[in-house]
Amino acid sequence: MTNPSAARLRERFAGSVGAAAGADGEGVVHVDAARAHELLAWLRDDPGERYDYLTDVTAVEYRDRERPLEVVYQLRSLPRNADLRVKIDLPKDAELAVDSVVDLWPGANWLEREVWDMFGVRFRGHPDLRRLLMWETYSEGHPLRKDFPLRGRFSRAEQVRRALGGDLTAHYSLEELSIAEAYDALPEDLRRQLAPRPGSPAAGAGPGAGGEGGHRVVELALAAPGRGMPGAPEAEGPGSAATAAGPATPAGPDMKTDHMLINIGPQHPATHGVLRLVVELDGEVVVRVIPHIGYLHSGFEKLGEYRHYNQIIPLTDRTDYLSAPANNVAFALAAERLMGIEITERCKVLRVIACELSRIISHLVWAGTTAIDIGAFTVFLWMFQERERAYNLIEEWTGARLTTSLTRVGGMMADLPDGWTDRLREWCRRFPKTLDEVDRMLLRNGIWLGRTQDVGVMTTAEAIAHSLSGPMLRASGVAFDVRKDLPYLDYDTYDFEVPVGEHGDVYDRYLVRMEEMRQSVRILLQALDRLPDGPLNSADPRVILPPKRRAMSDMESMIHHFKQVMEGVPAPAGEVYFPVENPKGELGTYLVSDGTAKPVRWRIRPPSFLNIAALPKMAEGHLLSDLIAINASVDIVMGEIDR
Amino acid sequence: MLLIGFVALSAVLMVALSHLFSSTRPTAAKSLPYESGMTPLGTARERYDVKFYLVAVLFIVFDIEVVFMMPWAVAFRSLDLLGLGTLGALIEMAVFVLILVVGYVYVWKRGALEWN
Amino acid sequence: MSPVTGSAFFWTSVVKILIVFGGILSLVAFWTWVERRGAGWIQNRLGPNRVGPEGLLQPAADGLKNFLKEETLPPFADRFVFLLAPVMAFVPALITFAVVPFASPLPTPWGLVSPAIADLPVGFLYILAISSLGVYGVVLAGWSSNNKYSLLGGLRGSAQLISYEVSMGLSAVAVLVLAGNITMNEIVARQQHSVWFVLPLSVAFLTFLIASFAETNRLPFDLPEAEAELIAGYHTEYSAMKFSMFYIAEYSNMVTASALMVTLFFGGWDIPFTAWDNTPPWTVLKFVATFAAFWLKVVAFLFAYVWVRWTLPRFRFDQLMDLGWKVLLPVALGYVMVIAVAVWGLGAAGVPFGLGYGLILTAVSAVLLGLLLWGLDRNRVIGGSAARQRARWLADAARQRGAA
Repeated sequence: MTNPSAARLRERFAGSVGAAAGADGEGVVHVDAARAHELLAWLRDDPGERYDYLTDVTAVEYRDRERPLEVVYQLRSLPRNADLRVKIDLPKDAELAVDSVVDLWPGANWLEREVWDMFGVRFRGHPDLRRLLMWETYSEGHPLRKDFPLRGRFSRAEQVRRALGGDLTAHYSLEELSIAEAYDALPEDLRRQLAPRPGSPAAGAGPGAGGEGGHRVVELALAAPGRGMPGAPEAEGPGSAATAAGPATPAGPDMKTDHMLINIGPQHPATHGVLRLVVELDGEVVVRVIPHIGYLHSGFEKLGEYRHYNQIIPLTDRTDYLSAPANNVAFALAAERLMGIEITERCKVLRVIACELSRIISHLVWAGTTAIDIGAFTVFLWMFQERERAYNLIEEWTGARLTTSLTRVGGMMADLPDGWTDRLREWCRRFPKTLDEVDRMLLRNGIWLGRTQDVGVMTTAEAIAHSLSGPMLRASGVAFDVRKDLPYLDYDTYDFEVPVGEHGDVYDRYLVRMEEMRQSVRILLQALDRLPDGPLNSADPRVILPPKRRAMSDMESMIHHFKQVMEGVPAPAGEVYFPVENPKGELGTYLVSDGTAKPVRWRIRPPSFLNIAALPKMAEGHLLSDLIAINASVDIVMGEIDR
Repeated sequence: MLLIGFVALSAVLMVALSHLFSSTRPTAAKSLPYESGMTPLGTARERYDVKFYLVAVLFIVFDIEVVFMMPWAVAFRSLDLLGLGTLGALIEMAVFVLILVVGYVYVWKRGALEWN
Repeated sequence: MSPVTGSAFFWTSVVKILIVFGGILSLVAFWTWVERRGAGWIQNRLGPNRVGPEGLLQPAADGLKNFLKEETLPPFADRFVFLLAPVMAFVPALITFAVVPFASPLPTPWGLVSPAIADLPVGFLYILAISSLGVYGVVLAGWSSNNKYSLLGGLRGSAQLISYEVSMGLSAVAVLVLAGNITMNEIVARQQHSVWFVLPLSVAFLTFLIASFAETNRLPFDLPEAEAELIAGYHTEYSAMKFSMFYIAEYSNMVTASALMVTLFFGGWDIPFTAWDNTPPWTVLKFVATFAAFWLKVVAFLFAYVWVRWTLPRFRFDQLMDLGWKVLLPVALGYVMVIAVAVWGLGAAGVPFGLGYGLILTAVSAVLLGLLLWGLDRNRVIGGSAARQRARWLADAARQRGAA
């Protein structure tokens, strides 16, 4: 069944819409690069379509060298609860460039930067097209291209030499270097390089301002806030930026002071990993935040293209390492849909338990670290004690605490140990009391309220436009939960509520996550009640390894065993986007197969990547302390952001 | 005086002793000012917000006021001013505080106490 | 018995200095242990329990370690100021205590020994003066390090310390109105002859308590070194003993602030409900008993510091300044006037200074305290509305840049 939007598109943009396909209710439409922007805008604005939420932007390159490279837009209509995938074919002999959609969805900013970084696809009109995961001076090319060797182009020593290169300023983007106050401290040659050229185009207003990744005009930096936002004042035309460099004296008794450029991270107590924020401070006020990521970039998506589906599961542990079981489940579900495998009832319930347990442990870390960032140390330790208890349960089940590798395609790695359900039940009974105690401690505290309320507000419209997901989206008043709206694992048969905030501030995010933990406990108890006996793994001998004894005694089992281990499990040619509700938001797994046992493309739609991309929007104009609180409220994990 | 000398001496001694006992192996990276592990850009010696000076000035005003109030407070019950006894002292201080409050309100209204 | 004079005075002073200095340092060391074990107790964990019985020798081990650790002397720092800063923090923290009487006078063969190191006639002024010096340590450390976090911490610290200094002084003025004397011994004596000033001056005590938390940079006022924001704030660049000296200074300040609160509001070395301890003749037994009473009260306050630290989150800078300048300052100032009026009224009505006098004032203050706490409704004063204002500010700035 194809998506009805495809037919309407063809009607409206005749000639620009190519093949359309659909599987499992997903719609895929191929469109012309030339009219793609217009078409996407129509999809967003047409009252019958209303694809207001950009889930993901990525690209696919096939192993077949003749096939064009595809840029993929994963769209969602929140009001209609429908998904559509729009693809643009880019022949490799032509220039790899499409029009940026940042003006339609600000959330596309980082997504497009990542595609540029990884595939070398240029986005015309992108306000800030720089490398994202790799560093700015990276010169080996674009890692996710098929002609890029897995080990990289340069030797390790050469990589290090080039990365450091003796240039201390190489760690900063030109945007940061060009901030007026820091400018004077620069060496002479850099200053000349950055000096404003008369008559240069205004900041980010026209296409092409992005230019070669990193080569940008100095005015952009001085035209400060709202960069890249549609309708922002700086887009008013040439000349506006040049004068903006003059002293922008606000009314009232104010005196010009030096802005301070300061690094928060990567080695900082409050950045929850190796996130680096370059912050421009005016006194205590945050004027600008420029996040830098990629310090933990491990190339998981590239590695996945060289592995069998089951071999990818350990990689998923290491993305969002605070909720590994949920990642395992997400990948297994996607692979199973791709291969058309049905899993057993018992397996479904066990996976629900895994997902909800990881939601709780992830939220516990979040609550603890947020509290510690705002100064409430004790909450941190109380939360971690509960987390330890949960980890003990996970360890009993999987043998590991952090990197669980719990699932297999078609089943689970292990069944529950004896008495485990009783221990989980006992924990579920006790654990909410800790939550209540923490609530009493924080929600009745004037300082806590003052530190969280009205801080880092994202309105409903902004949250949707910035493609936030999970608790971040719900705290802004959007009642979208993948478990309810695009149910998987029989979530539609469980009885639970989805907490939704009103103000979209740090306080509401706290409330939403705390309530989600309580709801997860409800789901866990229901799952325990309904846990059926019966087989754990799918009966399909092609995907599930036979028991050891049979493999050693039965010829057919041995052949299956051999083929699975040596050749892997081939997936039919096709593709699937499978979203699940992870603790941090919507984790999408986008798998493309060409019929072999290794995926052509394994794309992770990382929720906290998109959530943290909105940090400048949330934090600019707040105080430094608020920046810390907001950053904490986003709930990031760098393993997932950098992958 | 004795105490000040003693404490100051021990403070200097502490610094000196630790200097004597400790090892120092500076490296280039160790010598950089700590900025989350990045090379600092620019210097910390910048002109910072004038607000901080404003606080200092306000502090002087109000602290001196406190110092003025102290002898008054100590002698309050035995003062005999304006021929009204203690009431006179009360009135005089009320006038003083009133002037101060006028200044305080002015400062507040001018936004000197706003930090946003 | 008459007070000691001459060379006996000199030698008793030396002994007192050694005892008080050593005592405070030991208490500080002990209290770092209490704080960590207390944290463990509050947070369902153990805390340091390996070095010595119950981990009691942990502070000694830490101190020794700090003597031997590598020193860093950043080449970009201003060396002289960098070295001076910890000394500037350390010295005022330890000498403030000098005027606080910590027991009843002690009879000795050479005469009566006063229980304070220096029983200055301007006792309270001395405290105000010396404790203001502490801010230099913070500012100089922050500035000299040439580190941006340190600078921010130093700026925050200086603004915070001097802001709360004012409220602290004003709440003490209320005490002076009632005590009619500025000598610490006399303030204690006045409380012994009426009631502890915490009752008739409850509002002043509240402001003094808050200000003393701010003055000691303790949570919820630890903004100058807020580790989640500024790594370690003004002492980011310090290591080894120089870092340790800031640490000692912080704890000594806690001890001094606690001792001050005890002296001004909790009757100093007075033992409640008996006049035995504060009437001559002075005996060694009385000295010991009052000494214990005094330190018991101090330790109670010190424990409150620990308790609060592991309970409350941290203020934001604008909230901190708002609380100091817009709440505490007018409250303290107004309260002084109210107390002055009340004292005048009581004098006019001919009520003699004593228990009844104190109880009438207690009633007045209780009403005021109730009003204050009602008015300090959470989220109305310490609210989040600041964020909205900043958002407006940013929008204005953006518009102006756009229009320019």
